[in-house]
Amino acid sequence: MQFFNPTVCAEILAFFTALFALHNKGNTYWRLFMIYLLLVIVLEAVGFSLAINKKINYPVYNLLILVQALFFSFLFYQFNTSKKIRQWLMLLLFLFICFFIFEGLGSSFLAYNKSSRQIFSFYIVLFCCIYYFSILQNDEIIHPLKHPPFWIITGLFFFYFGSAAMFAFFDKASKSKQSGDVAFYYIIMGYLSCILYGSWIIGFICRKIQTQPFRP
Amino acid sequence: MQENTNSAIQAIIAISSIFTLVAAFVVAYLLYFNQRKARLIAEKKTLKEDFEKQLLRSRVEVQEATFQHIGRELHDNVGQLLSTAKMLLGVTEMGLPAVPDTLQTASATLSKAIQEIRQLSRSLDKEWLEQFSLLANLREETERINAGGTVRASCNCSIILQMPAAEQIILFRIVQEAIQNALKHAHPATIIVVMTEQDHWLHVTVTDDGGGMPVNFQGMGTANMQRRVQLFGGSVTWERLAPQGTQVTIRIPLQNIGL
Repeated sequence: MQFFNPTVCAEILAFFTALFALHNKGNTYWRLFMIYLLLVIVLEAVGFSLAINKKINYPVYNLLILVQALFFSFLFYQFNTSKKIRQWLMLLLFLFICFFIFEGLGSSFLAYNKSSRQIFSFYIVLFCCIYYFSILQNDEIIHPLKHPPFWIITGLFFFYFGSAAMFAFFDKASKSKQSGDVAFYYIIMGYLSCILYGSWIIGFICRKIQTQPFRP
Repeated sequence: MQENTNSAIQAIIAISSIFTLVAAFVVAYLLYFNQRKARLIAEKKTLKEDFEKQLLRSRVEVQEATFQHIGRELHDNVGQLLSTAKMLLGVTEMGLPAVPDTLQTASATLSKAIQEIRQLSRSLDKEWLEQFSLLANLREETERINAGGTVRASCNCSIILQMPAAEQIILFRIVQEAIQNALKHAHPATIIVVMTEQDHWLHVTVTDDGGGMPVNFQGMGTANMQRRVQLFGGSVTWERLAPQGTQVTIRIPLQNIGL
């Protein structure tokens, strides 16, 4: 078991790309990615240090779910301008947080909130689909491959849609060892994290190109 | 127990792979559909632009027909009435032993009015315009202004234009409107019309040294100018000059001329 697994490496790479691409003032809420990615790396490090000291690290990952829920909801709020969708987003986020607290209280937050994670996957996939639909409904011509939000959403879509099966069989996936000492769960999550953060890195670079001052 | 775990892992791999493929399919479909949508929007935009061009052309044609009608009416009706009046004055003069000064002045004024009406009807007559080039018409227009004696107009147009007559008329009307606006609103001492060709663009500037047009001025004439310039896919801009004066710049892509 080592700290620098594919997931953490992808997170660190995405963090440094965000630092390079999103540091200028014109990026407004995009600069929150730097804070979010730093927070994720810190939580991963805390989770890892607890794990090697044979302590329960599930509360850290539960906290990560909550941070992700808030940050991704904020992103969906920014990317979708429809008032109705925003209202639904707020309502579903509220319901999710209620469910998360309800599930967490059952185990005093010492066990991983699997059901919350599964519902969270569904929540993310649903709003990704709504975002895609809004692109198709838009009367303006959008080039998705040059559109930073498209890459952010696509990363999330692949990650949460791909990991849905994993969390349905979370107990078996997290305990079974596939190669050496590495749990099968971490291998699949490593691949999906590479897709997620790879898409985000492309999105950050697109954003950097978009916000570069024009030089004739 | 081990078999159960292995089959669960296989199930997870299979489901995860299928889900990832479905995600890839959704994104690929979105990109494909978006591309089709972009093509449709572009086609719709082209159709709309074509329709607007046709509409503008029809409007310009109707306007030209109206001008022609007014020109003919002026020539055939008002012109004839004035000629008759002048003839009657002549007959009256012949019957008088001494022609009073007022009658002579009235006769001279009538002659001038007849001449003015003839010139006006000629500049409104499309058929007449078709016989001349745009450059010749512009020079004549500046000469007509110079004849008034209050404003000095000049035309510096040293290019060779290969334009159909119909388009020359449209361009002439645009420049004519710019000159008229300067005369009406700016009260200048000089008006300079310059026509040049640069990088496949036709540039026409009408510069005056008058008081300048009001800020954000938007009259029927300027709207007409913009509509006419749009027919060529060009642009028209108004710029205030320091210390005084206005410059109207008309830019037309030469590739759109003669289409």
